Amino acid sequence: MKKGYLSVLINGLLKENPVFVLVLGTCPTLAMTDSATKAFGMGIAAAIVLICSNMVISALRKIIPDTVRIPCYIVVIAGFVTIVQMAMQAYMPDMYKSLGTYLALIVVNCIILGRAEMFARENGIFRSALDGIGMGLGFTIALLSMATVREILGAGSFFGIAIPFMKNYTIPFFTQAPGGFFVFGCLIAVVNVITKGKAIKKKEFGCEGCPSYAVCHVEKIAKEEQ
Amino acid sequence: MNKYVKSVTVLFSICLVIALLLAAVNFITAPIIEEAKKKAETESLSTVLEGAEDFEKYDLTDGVPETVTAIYKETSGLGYAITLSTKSQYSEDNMLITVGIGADRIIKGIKITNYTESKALPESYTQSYVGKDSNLENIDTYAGVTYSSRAYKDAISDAFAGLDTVLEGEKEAN
Amino acid sequence: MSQLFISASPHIRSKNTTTRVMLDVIIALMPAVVASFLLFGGRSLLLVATSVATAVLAEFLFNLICKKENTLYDLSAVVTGILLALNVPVSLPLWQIAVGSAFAIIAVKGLFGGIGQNFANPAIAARIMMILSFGGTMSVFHYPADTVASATPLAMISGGAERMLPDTLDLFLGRYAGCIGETCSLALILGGVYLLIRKVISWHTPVAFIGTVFVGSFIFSMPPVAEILTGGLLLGAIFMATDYSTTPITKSGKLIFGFGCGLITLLIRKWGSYPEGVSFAILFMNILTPYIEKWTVSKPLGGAKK
Repeated sequence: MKKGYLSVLINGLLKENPVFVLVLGTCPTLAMTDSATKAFGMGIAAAIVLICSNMVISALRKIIPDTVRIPCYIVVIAGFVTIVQMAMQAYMPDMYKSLGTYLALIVVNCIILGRAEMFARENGIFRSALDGIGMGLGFTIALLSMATVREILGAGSFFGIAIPFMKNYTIPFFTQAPGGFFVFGCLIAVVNVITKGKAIKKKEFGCEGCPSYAVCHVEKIAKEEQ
Repeated sequence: MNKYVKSVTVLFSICLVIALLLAAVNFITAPIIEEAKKKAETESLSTVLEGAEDFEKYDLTDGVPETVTAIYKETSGLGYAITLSTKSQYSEDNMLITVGIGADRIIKGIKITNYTESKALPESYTQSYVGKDSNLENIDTYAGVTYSSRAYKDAISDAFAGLDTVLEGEKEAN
Repeated sequence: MSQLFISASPHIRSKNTTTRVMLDVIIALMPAVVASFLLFGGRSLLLVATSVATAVLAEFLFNLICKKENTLYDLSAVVTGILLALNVPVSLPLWQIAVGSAFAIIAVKGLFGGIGQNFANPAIAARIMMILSFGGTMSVFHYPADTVASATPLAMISGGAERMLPDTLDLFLGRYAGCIGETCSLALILGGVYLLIRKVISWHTPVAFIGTVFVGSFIFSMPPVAEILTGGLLLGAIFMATDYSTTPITKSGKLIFGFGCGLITLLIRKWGSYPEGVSFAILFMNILTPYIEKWTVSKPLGGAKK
């Protein structure tokens, strides 16, 4: 359905937030949110890749045949991730070191492949770019919000700056893995409350229960092939 | 058949374009990354040789002891920096040491960059080597950490030995 | 005819309510609380009080914010508070037990649906969370009435220093370093007997649990008597492995549960890196409980096949 440009942009911020509503890209969400600097770096890196790959895939959407579309998408995405990697290693070495392997893992971040499949395939370059910006921003905001909770409660600092009165009262549970899952669940619940549960349709099994059902093409293609 | 030709062509061309793009970016960023690496290395070597500016790496010839991983010559003539790697008693990780030897063959500084044993070598012991020359007089092993301190001492001796070997090789070449 | 009257079911009511059961548990815990005071001093009462107060406050606020009805009267928050406090060392900072207590009520009980819906014993889960977070303060133990920190008997055993163990009477009466509620075996057994008499718990789980550890320690060459009298074993086996909502209902299920707990405790104590394994064992078996129940549920006689 053709939505207005603005709604494409703000879609990814809350209503279809890739992390808290579509529940995509949970691996970097859990791994990179124990400090706000890491979260910010990961969010921006993924956003850049998302915008660029969305635009390129959208530009090539009429040329790429369906049979090889996944390999083509992955090559494009991997290319942009490598560019971001090299640039970061050269110009922001500290951030590069703290992101570690997760920078390369952006290639398999479900958000990027997911949006390529669900949006860039069907929409023009400008719209795809807007979607990329919206989803990328949504991802970054989601990561930052999780990292804020985890870093302040777990390490008593924010963006690496120690908070004076928190120093002796940190609860390391939150920076550890179980705390990450816990905060993640709580934030999903909070977003549910804010969107009054309308963001996710009622839970069913099968395709209807997936948050991306409205824009998914798997069923359509399966029907076409019959 | 046509369907396959188109698929393969498209996939191939996309790969080609991306590869070229990556080559271009690499061309721009690789030197910067190299330089940053070299700078970090120089900085870590400078901690054992005060006032050092830049280092040149020697090729390690035969005859250099196994524990020596690299020998650097400080370009302004201050001396040499040598990195060593020696076995620790219990862990698989080696003990890594960097030692700075002045042009006057006296130890100027030592740093342990990797040490994974539970009992640490105290600074009073490790730094007692500074100011000694290749004879390493009056230094024994440290009680309680015998294996590691022996390895430490042997490594420092090896540093001198390796340095001598390399300098001799250099003299012969000239 | 006027003597007969019609009413809706239930027609037989028992006096058993959740509050009644919880009250019995609180009474059963009193000997242990008193023992903790006698052995470790007034601070242990302070810990218990803080824990209970935080648990009650947390439940009150949670129910308020989530617009649920007030369930404080069922006293389950009080029980969780006491149990958690008994599981910590006497020197633990008060704010840390408050955090653990709040976590137990809000995260482990409240967020999953309140009493009866929790997947694990709140006190056990909160204790594990505290071990993860406050590892330092949670492992500093004091010999009763001393201010110098010392090793627990289990730590001595795992460190090979068995000769230094206190003698059995001391172990029984609780005169050794450990968490404030777990040391005095006498008090815990008294509480356990009370619960058995009041039919609040059945003997299956505690006996299976303690029995497995006892027999197993012979097999694994650990000192059996010390193993069952120290660590959180008695406290866990009597008060936490018998929690209604997180352990199997069927009798054979309870036996399996107790056996599993005992086995895992032994494995962790013998080969794991923690000297104490009861908390993790109970948590693990809590998670397996639905499957144990499914496995041991009795088939109704004459019921139709699916």
